[in-house]
Amino acid sequence: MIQLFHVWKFYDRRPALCDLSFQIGKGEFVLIRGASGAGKSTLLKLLFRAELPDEGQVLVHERNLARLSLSEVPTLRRGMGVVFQDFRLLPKKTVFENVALPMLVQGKEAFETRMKVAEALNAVGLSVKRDCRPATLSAGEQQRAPTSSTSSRQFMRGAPRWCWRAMTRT
Amino acid sequence: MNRLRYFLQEAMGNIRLNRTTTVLAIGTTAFTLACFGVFLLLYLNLRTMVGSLQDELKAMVYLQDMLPAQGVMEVERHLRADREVASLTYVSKEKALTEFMRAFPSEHDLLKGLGDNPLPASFEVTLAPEYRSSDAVMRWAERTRLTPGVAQVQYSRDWIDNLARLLFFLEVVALAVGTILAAASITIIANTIRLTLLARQEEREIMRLIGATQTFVKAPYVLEGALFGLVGAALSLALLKGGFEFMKMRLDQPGQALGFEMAMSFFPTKVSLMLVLAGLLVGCTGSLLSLIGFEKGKL
Ligand SMILES: Nc1ncnc2c1ncn2[C@@H]1O[C@H](COP(=O)(O)OP(=O)(O)O)[C@@H](O)[C@H]1O
Ligand SMILES: [Mg+2]
Repeated sequence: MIQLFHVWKFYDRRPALCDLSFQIGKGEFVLIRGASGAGKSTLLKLLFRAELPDEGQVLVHERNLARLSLSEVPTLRRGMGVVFQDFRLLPKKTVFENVALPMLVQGKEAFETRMKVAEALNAVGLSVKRDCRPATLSAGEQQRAPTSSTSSRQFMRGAPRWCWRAMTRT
Repeated sequence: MNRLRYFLQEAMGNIRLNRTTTVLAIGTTAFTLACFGVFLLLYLNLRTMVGSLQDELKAMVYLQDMLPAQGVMEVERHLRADREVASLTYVSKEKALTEFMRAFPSEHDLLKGLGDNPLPASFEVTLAPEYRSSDAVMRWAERTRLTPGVAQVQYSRDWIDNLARLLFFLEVVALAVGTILAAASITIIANTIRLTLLARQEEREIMRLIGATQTFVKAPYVLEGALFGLVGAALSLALLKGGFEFMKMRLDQPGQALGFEMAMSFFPTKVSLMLVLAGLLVGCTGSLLSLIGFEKGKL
């Protein structure tokens, strides 16, 4: 569950988000649309606590993100799957390793990781590229790699690609 | 296991990133530990030498001339009752003379000129190990000198004391040199790791975005420092062993032999392990130093 209460976010005194309030329930499927510069990326950054609101509260699973301690932030992020506009792949790691990274971070078993990663790569049609470096992938393929790396409990799973693409460089 | 492999992979990646500085960091660490090891080798060998010399430390209790057999037995009983005396042997006037003649054949005439046997009878005393410090020996000698029938007590531990002083000096120098060199290699390791930290900023950011903890993100860098230390230590041990064998070979050559046999030995395994641990400590200190406060609170 995601809740926003009267959220304001300013960049250099210019508001990027103005008095935003909404609620997304468990299992709900939501698209956010807007012109370039409307604040979509800013909103997502607030959700995985890359940014904090200047006013108002952001709650995920009833926890106020502003109140999370530094050590709780990784836990929050592990529960999310985010595909960044600029892909954010590690250039020196293979496609397989990149996709496996979130599971490694979560301390998943090697066997489980291998199974899940193979499955995910298969689903996005990247199995043949599993041992390639990201640089050798086409833009579309690069985008599918992190898509497949999103794992369990991802509240944004299934959202169309253009929504994910809304993310900008943080 | 999965994670450990990942950390190792990352650390190796870091090392490949800055080959030149890595070689420098490992080289300084090896040099540091080798210098320290040379002192340690000298120190340990000298210490065993001093130890064995102390085992041979004997005091001579000279008896008054013309002391009757009864008096000699009195002195012997007194010495045997002394807790500081480990063992003793009686050296009669005659035996002293034969020993002297054997030791200094050229002085044969000198003694003859003196007429009667001038050498006193004595007890050769070995002191118990726990009373072999110079203070204890001195006190014991003072006390024993006052025993009826005893003319003089002699012991020579001046040069043993000198050796002990040399040992202490070596200890101080080793500590000082070790500290300075360790500081140098810690600094170089810290800077090397700082370089990789700067080069891989973006990758750490990605790791944080997918929920990696600060510890997870930084662990490879600690491992990198630890590897520097370990490899440096292994290298220094190899250097020391090589140098040691070479020196030993040179010393064993006939014609170059020293007056007395020096049974030199290399580090026992325990000391070698300690050297490796020291390397590990230097490496980890270096990496922790570069990580302290680095990207603190960064999300
Ligand atoms: N880090 C930043 N510093 C300054 N201004 C920013 C920053 N991030 C976003 N903005 C501004 O906030 C507004 C919203 O940006 P953004 O959320 O990226 O829009 P969208 O993703 O909907 O295209 C824009 O006007 C943008 O210039
Ligand atoms: Mg955007």
